[in-house]
Amino acid sequence: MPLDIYFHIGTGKTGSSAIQSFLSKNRKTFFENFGILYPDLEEPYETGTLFNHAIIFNNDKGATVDSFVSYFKNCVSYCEKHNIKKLVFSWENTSLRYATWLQKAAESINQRVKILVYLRRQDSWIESAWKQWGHKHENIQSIEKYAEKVDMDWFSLLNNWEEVLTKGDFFVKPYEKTQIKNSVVEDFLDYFKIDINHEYFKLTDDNYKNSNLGFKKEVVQVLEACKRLNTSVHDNKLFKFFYDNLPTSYIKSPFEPYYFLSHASRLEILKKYEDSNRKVAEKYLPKNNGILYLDPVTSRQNEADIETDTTSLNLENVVPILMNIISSQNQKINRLGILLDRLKENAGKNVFKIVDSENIVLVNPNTRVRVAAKDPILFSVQKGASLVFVMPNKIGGSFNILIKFQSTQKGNFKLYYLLGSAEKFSEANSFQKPFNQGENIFIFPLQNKTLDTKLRLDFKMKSGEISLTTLNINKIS
Amino acid sequence: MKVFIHIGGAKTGSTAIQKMLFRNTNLLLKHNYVYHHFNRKDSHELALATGFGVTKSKRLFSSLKINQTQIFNHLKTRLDPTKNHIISSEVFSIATTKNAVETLLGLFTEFEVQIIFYLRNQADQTASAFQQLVKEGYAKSVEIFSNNHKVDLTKSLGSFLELLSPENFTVRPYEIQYFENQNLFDDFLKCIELDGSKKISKPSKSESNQSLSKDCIEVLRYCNVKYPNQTKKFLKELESLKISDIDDLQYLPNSRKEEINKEFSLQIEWLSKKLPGKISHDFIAVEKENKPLYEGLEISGFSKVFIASLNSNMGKLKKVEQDLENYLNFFNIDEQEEN
Repeated sequence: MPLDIYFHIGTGKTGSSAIQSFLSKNRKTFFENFGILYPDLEEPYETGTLFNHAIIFNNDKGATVDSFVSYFKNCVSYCEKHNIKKLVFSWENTSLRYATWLQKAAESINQRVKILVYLRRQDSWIESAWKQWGHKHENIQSIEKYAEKVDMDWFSLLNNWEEVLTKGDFFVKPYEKTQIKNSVVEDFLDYFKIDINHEYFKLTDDNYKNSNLGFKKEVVQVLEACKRLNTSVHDNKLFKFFYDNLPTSYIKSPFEPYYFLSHASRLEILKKYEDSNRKVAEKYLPKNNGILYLDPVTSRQNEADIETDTTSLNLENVVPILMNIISSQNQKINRLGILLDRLKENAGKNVFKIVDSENIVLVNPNTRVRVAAKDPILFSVQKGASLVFVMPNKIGGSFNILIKFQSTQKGNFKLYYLLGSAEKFSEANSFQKPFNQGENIFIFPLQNKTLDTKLRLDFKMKSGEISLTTLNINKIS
Repeated sequence: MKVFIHIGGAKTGSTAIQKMLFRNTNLLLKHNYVYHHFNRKDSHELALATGFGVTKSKRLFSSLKINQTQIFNHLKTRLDPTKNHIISSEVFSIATTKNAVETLLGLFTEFEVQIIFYLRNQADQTASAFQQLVKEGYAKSVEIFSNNHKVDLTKSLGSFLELLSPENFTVRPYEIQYFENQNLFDDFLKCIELDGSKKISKPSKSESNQSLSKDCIEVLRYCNVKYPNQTKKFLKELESLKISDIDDLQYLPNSRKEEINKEFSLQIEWLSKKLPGKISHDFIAVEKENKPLYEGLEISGFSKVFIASLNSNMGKLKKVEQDLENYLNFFNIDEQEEN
C-alpha cells in the first residue's frame, strides 16, 4: 500500500494549535498504534516535541526549499523503512511560497499529496484574527478597517494554490460549530478514521500554546489598549501573560462568538464573500448544495443588548481584570514564600556555616544562631540525621579531618566530602565508622586533594542525642 | 440581678463592643458580670441570634458548626442568679420575631432585663451598611442600595417594646459627641453600670471592623459583579493595602440624605411615644457641614489602588528574593548570570 502524505495548512484561526498539540503529544502513539508519522525534526522521527512544522519552512532559521525537500524525503524513507502508511505535516500558512515548496516535495517523489484545509466563515474569522493580530496593528483602529485590508476570499485562495500545487488533492472542511460538532481535533482525526477517545491518547496540557484560545471581549479591549507593548503582530507574550493570570471565566470557548462586529458590518462582510463561499461549496463540498456554512448569523444573543455589546472599555470591565491579575501574582508570590520556607526547613535544618575558621564559629541559616567552638552542637537523632558544614573556602593539599563527639547510644556514622567541583555527595568520597556510647574521636586523612566547601556527617542509630564538640581540618605541611 | 441585652443596631460599633467584652471576660467576672460569648471570638452574635430562632438559615448553621439546642442549653446552664449577665447580638435588631424575643426573655425571668440599643443617623448608617454589604459580596451601586435600604425601628424594636416596659430600655445616640467621654466603649460600660471600671482594656481603632477607602470599596464592588464568590479573597488583599480616605466625602447626595432623615424623623417620633422621655432630638444628628459628594471610582482612584496593590506585591517579592539570595550566599552558591 502506498504512503499517504498529508499537509494540514490551517488556515489560521481554525484550531490549528489544538490539532498540532494533540499530534505532538501523541506522536509515539500515532506511530506505534495507528501507523501514522507526525515527524519530529530528526530521527527517530516518532519521538521529540516538535509542535508544528513551521521551522522546516522558515527562511529566517536557515530553511531552504532544498533543505525542506531533503527533510521531506528522509521522512518518506523513514516511513517506508518502518512500514508506516500515513505521513502528516502541519503548519497553518496559506502563502504561495509554501505551496511551491510542497509542489517541489511532491515532485521529488513523484507522488500526489493531500492538502487538508479548514475554512472559517469570514465574519467569525476576522473577529478571531482581530484578537490574534489585528488589534496589535499600530495604524488600524477598528475591526471594520481591518476587515477591509484583509483578503478572505477562500475560493480565490484555493484556486491560487491549485495552480501552483498541481500534485495536491484538496480536502476542505468548514470550521464552524454546526459542522465540526465536538472539537476540531476530533474532526481532524476523522480524516484518519481514528476515535479521539482511544485509550492510548494523552490529553494535551492546558496552556496558552496548546490551545491558543480566545479571551472575552473586554480582555481583548485591554490588549488593544496595550498594543504598544507588543514587538510585532506575532508577539504573543501578552496573551500568555493574561492566560496565565486570569480565571477561566475570561477565556472564550472555541466556538463562542466575540461579537466585535456590529450586525450591519457582519452582514456586509458576508455579502462581500457570498459568491466566493458558494463556489467553494460547489467545488469542494458537492453534497452541500452550494452552501458552505450552516451556523446562524447572529450578532448578539439578544438584540436588546446592543448598547452593552458596543460599549468601549470602561472601569467596570477593567477593574476586575487587573485586580485578578494582581491577585494571581499575589498568590504566586505567597506560594514562592511557602516553597522557600519549606526549602529552608528541609535543607537548612542541620547545616552550619563556618564563618570564622580561626575560632570555628558556626552559624545555622534558619536560626542564625552562632555557635562557637567551645559550644557543642547538640542534636537529636531519630534513626538518622545529617549535619552539613559549609566552609568559607576550598582547601587544597593534604590534611586531617578531626571529629570529636559524645553520643548517648552506639551507632554508625559517615563523613562525606566533596572533591573539586563535584555537586553531589557520593559513597566513593566518604568514610564510614561505627561509634560507641560516650566520647568518640576520629581522624580521617586526605592526601593531595582539593576539598570543596561542604562536609556532611550522617549519624545512624535507633534514637538518642549527639553532642558534636570538635570538627577540625588540619593541614599537614 | 440584671441581664443586659445589647441588640445593636446594625453598624453602631457592635463588633468593637463585642471584642471589648470578649477580651475582658475574666475582669468582668470579677465585677460580677458574666459575658456569654460561647467561646467564639467571631460570629458569636450570629450563633446567639440563631440559637433563638432569629434566623434559621441552613448556610449559617453549617458555617457556625453549632446547633440551636447547643446554643440555647449553653446559655441556660450558665445563668447564675447571683451575677449580672451580658449578651450581645446586633442580629436581634435586624430580623427578630416575637417568638424569638419571647424565648429569649423567657430565660431571664429571674433577672431585671435591660435592652441596650444604639441609634445612628440613618444617612450615615445607610452608607456604612452599604460598605459592609460590599465587603460581603454586594455588587449594586450605593444609589440602588440606598433606595432599597430601609431601617424600620418598628421591626427592630417592635417585639421588644411589646413584651417589655419603657424602663427596660437604654437607647443611646451613636454619635461621638454624645458618647460618655466621647468614647463608645466608655458609653457602653456606663450602659451596663460599669463606668467606674478603669481597668477594662479597649480594642484599638485598627482592631475594629477595618474600614476601606471609598475607592477600594468600589474596586471590590466591581470585582463582586464579576466574581461574587471571591469577595473574601479580594477583600483580604485590599485591606492589606491599608489605604484610607484622605478626603472626607459623602456617598449620598444631600437631597437623598434629607429624604432618608425625613423618614427617620417619623420613626423617632413613633419611638418617642413608645419610650417617653428616653428619646431626644439628638438622635437625628443633622450633619454640621455638607461634605463634597464621592463621584464614584475614577481612573485616578483606581490607579492609586492598582499601584498600591502592585507595590505590595513587589514588596513581598523583594522579601522572597532577598531571602533566597541570603540563602544562596549562605551555601556559597553563585547566582547564574542571566543570558
